[in-house]
Amino acid sequence: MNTGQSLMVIVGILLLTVFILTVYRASTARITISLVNEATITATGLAQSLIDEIQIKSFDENTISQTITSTDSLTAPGLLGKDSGEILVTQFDDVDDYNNYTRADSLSRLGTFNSKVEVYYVQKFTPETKSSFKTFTKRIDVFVTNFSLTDTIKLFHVVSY
Amino acid sequence: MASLIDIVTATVIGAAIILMIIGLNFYIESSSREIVNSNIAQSNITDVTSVIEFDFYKIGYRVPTNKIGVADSIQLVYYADFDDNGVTDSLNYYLGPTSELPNTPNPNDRLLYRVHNSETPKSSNIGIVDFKLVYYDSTGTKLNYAALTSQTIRNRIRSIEVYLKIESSTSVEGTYAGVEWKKNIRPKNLIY
Repeated sequence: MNTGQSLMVIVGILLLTVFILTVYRASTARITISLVNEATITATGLAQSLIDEIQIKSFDENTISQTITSTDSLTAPGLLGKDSGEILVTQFDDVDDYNNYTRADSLSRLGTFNSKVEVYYVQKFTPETKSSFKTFTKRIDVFVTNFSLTDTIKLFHVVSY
Repeated sequence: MASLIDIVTATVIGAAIILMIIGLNFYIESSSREIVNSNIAQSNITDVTSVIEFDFYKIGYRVPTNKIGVADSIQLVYYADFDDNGVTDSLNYYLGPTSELPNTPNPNDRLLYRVHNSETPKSSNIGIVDFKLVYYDSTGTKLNYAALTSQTIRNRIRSIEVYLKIESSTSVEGTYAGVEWKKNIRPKNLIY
């Protein structure tokens, strides 16, 4: 085998190697996408479940046993969160008790799904805008993470009084 | 001598290339099967959960008392006026045994039955390997299954956690593609 033939063989093997690596990469990407889809289905169910749980609670600590007509009676934006004496989630009685609440659900296939909740006041007609003052509208943001998810799953729900 | 070295070298290179191509072929075949199995499982779980959500959220609709008849880990019988005609209907969800599907490659797949009133039980093999129900009262406390044999305790149910796991019927290198779903359903007619 002369030098020219050897070079042709080496170039041929290199081309074949590049082709094989490309196929492997493409296949791995497809498997990853499938795994992300699986995690997304599971994470969405968990997030919806958490939103369902939160939205059936009272709008505010001060609306549990009375009716209010002014936003002055609501909890201050900086105090949204667990109230005194509320340690367990089963003790939460209003929507904003879940502010900064975290939960971990362990499932057999994809391990732990970590959920985090944020609750804050928003402006009535622009619920995407966070309000620094009290309003009769609160937004619940739920974030779910898992090692299989390439990005955090984020679901939100707006509740009004 | 030189030609002998050429022949040996060419044989080695040729064999390596053939092995690489065979390996690639196996990889493409198994990964394609894995992806297809996974997609089928995902599609199946989306279909099943949409039916479960549709049905479970109606628990107790236009039924004044005793809205749940049986509450077990793999069975739920409840009442609601599904067709809004003033007549209470019953719906029975239960998981069949693995022995019902002896001919499928997956040893764990089972049938999930849905029985409306006294109709013939309906089901199809979509790879359900686990279906579990957990019941909670108004304070979020889990109710134990033994106590749920009592109607008084069943009347305390306010939410139902549904766990569902679906796997492919065939495995790829011993692994079954699958997907899990868990949701705590709070039917309005149990809460208010």
